[in-house]
Amino acid sequence: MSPDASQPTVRLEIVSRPSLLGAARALVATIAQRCGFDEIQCGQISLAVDEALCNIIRHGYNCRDDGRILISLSQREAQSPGIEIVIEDDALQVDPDTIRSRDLDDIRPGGLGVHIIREIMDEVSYTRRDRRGMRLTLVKHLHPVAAAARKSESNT
Amino acid sequence: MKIEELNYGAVAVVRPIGALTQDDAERLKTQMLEVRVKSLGRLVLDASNVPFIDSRGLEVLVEVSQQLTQTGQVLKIAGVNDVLREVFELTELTCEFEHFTDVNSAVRSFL
Repeated sequence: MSPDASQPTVRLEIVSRPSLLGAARALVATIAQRCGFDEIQCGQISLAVDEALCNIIRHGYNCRDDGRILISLSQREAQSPGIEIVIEDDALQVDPDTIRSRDLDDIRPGGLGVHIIREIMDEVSYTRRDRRGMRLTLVKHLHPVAAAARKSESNT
Repeated sequence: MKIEELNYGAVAVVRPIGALTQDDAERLKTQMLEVRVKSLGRLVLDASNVPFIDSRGLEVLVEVSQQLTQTGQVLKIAGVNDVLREVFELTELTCEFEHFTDVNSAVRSFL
């Protein structure tokens, strides 16, 4: 977790079952809203997480429905207010350099999800976990105007 | 996700209700392609009850649109909300479809 990620941290552990994605999206949207993001941004951030989870289920666990996925959400304060989301799994490890988005002119299954994640989030980082699985860290910064408004609200 | 099918004269309107993701997206594709044949391509997707779409949902819409393009038609989508509109824009897919604010406008465009 980054040094300025602050409490409260919300953690959600799910198995790799597509039917649970709706609940994960709802949780992410709720936390994003609490971090000060507007409705459209909340929808986008939950879409980015949904795409990441779909990729883990499809490619990491090969559609197995008993894999473990841990989602941690933290509100970032300090110099760059926003939200940090860390998604960890025990699935197949891949070389982070091979995870890339697809040319948008070539619309066919797969790859569009990574493009969406990179377009929505300000920071996207794939790393291998120590023993098994991957870790995806996503950060979205709050626009300075929204951050100022949020700070003002919390002071009153 | 529930999928309704309505007829406005010779125009068929497909109305999915719920999030357009993964398996539901496949189901919608199957139904839209069936409706496309029955309606001779006079097809409107009413997206006013779709609160969320993922990459598979987007891909399915593009696949249906490409089928329509082969016969010189275009997929008409009505009632897209702000969240979906943003997703279309960030994936640069907005111009793949013809957009209408509501179903009536989309249906009238066939006249």
